[in-house]
Amino acid sequence: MTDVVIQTNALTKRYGRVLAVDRLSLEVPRGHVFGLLGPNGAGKTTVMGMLLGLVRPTSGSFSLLGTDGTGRDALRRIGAIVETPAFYPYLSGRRNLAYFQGVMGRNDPRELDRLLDLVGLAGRANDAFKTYSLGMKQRLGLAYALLGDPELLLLDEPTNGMDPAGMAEVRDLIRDLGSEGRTILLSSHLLNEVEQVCDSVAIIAKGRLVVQGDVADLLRPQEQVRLRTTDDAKALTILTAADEIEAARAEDDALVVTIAHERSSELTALLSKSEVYVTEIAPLQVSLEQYFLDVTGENGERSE
Amino acid sequence: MTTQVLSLTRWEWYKLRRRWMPWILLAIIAALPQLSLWGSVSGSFGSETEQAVRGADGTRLLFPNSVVGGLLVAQVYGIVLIMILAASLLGTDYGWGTLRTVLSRGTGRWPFLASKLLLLALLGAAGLFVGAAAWAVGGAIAMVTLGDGTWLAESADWIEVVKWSGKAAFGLFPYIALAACVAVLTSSSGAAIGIALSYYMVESILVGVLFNFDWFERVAEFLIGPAGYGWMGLPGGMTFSYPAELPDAAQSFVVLLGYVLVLGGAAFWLFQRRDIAGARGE
Repeated sequence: MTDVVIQTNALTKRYGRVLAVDRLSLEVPRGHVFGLLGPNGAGKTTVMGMLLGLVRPTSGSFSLLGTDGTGRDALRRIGAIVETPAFYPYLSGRRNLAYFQGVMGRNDPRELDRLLDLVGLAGRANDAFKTYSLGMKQRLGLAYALLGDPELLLLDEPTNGMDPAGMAEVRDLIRDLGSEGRTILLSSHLLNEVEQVCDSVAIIAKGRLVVQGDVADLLRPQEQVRLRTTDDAKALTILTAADEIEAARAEDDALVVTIAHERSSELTALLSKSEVYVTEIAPLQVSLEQYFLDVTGENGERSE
Repeated sequence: MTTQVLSLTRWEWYKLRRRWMPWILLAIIAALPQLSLWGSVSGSFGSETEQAVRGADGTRLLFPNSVVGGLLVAQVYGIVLIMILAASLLGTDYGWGTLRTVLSRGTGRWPFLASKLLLLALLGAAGLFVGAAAWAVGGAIAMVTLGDGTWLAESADWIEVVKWSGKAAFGLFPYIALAACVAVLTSSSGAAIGIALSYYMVESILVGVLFNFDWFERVAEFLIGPAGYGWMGLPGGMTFSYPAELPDAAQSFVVLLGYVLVLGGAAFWLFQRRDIAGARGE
């Protein structure tokens, strides 16, 4: 048993002059629901493609379930959906699943019944795939990914195109699958989805890893205060140098300092020691969206 | 590996038999030789083509020897039909994006492509059988209704039937390899059908031109079409652009085998190496 089921080492993919994935090094621990979070075009699907052997890395390496990533043995223990699930349009949902089950060397009609029921497609199982809505296609994709009871799931935007009720159902399902000890790598550009479902997360932007860690640490709303002082320039110098202050920056005519609201008195005490006095102070709540935009550089340069 | 390829072939057939295309192509391969048969029976007699097919004395319409004539005619039409089927069978997996779905669960690329080619070879042979059988039935009906009523040959030459079945089926392989190679290269069934059929037509015109020059005549012998006719031993006049003398069967076999290996090898090499993109909406 290995504690890390996916490990990438400086994984890189270049399409001509476009660098889709840039020296990405990730570790996905066993039993975690791991989020791969990033804006559209960040390289999430390319990473999934490389892990699944569909896209050849330009450089770097990876291992899956303790095996060399270039082999196909590990893929038989992995369930995956990449982008919008693609199936044969003229076959029914059931026959599509039967085909893929057969290609995997198995033939178990009871498993098909169970999975179709699990994803809520039992009533439309005999209809042609081409008649399915996008949400139904995603559900069939999930059923396909669960064929063979895989120990690792790679899910690329699994709620894409679903209505809110469908999204909630699928997220519940993913949480349940994760609680059974299965490792799940979930790529998404939806912050709330990752926050609701994942234990750990890696944020990527422009093919690069920006930050990786526990969801609770990385995506918790950061507390900040906005203040004005008798000497903002001097105050910024003091706060930037202070160990107990996470970050400070000048913004408009004030300073924005990352610090828990209950510790605001420490801030004023620190400044007053240097004869800088706070004239105005107010709490700020940074939204998840703001944090995401900050760290992915979608909203200008990082401030920390 | 062999077991996996056979299993994948079975599952390829599972999904292919639920498409309209193979059944339409099968209907065409059964119908077109009938048109040739009844056209030649009811039309003008005496042309070299017709004599080659049904024999100067008409005995080739007697069962089971008539099957050989059916195989020859079915193979001519089968070349075009098998290229369409091959391009579609491979290209649609790119177009629908299903290639990603299949390969992401550990199905090897090599066995997957091998299973498709094996299925195409089997379907090609089956198509020839259907075409030849339809021709034989038509021949028997023609002999009963228009001839002297005798439809059964006095001496059945089943060895000839088996020999020509093998030759006709092998003659399809270079065209399967060509369509497969183009389908993998273009990742598109539409483009593959267009290019493969264009090659077939352009080659037949080119051969007609090349055979008019002594030195280039030798070059033309190494193209698929002339080698195919040489392999089948068909006399000139089967199509408008071919001369009476064609390369011998042994040389033609080597040429055709070379095309199978080179085009098939290129298809495998490309399929193994290239990234698999998502659906293209074909």
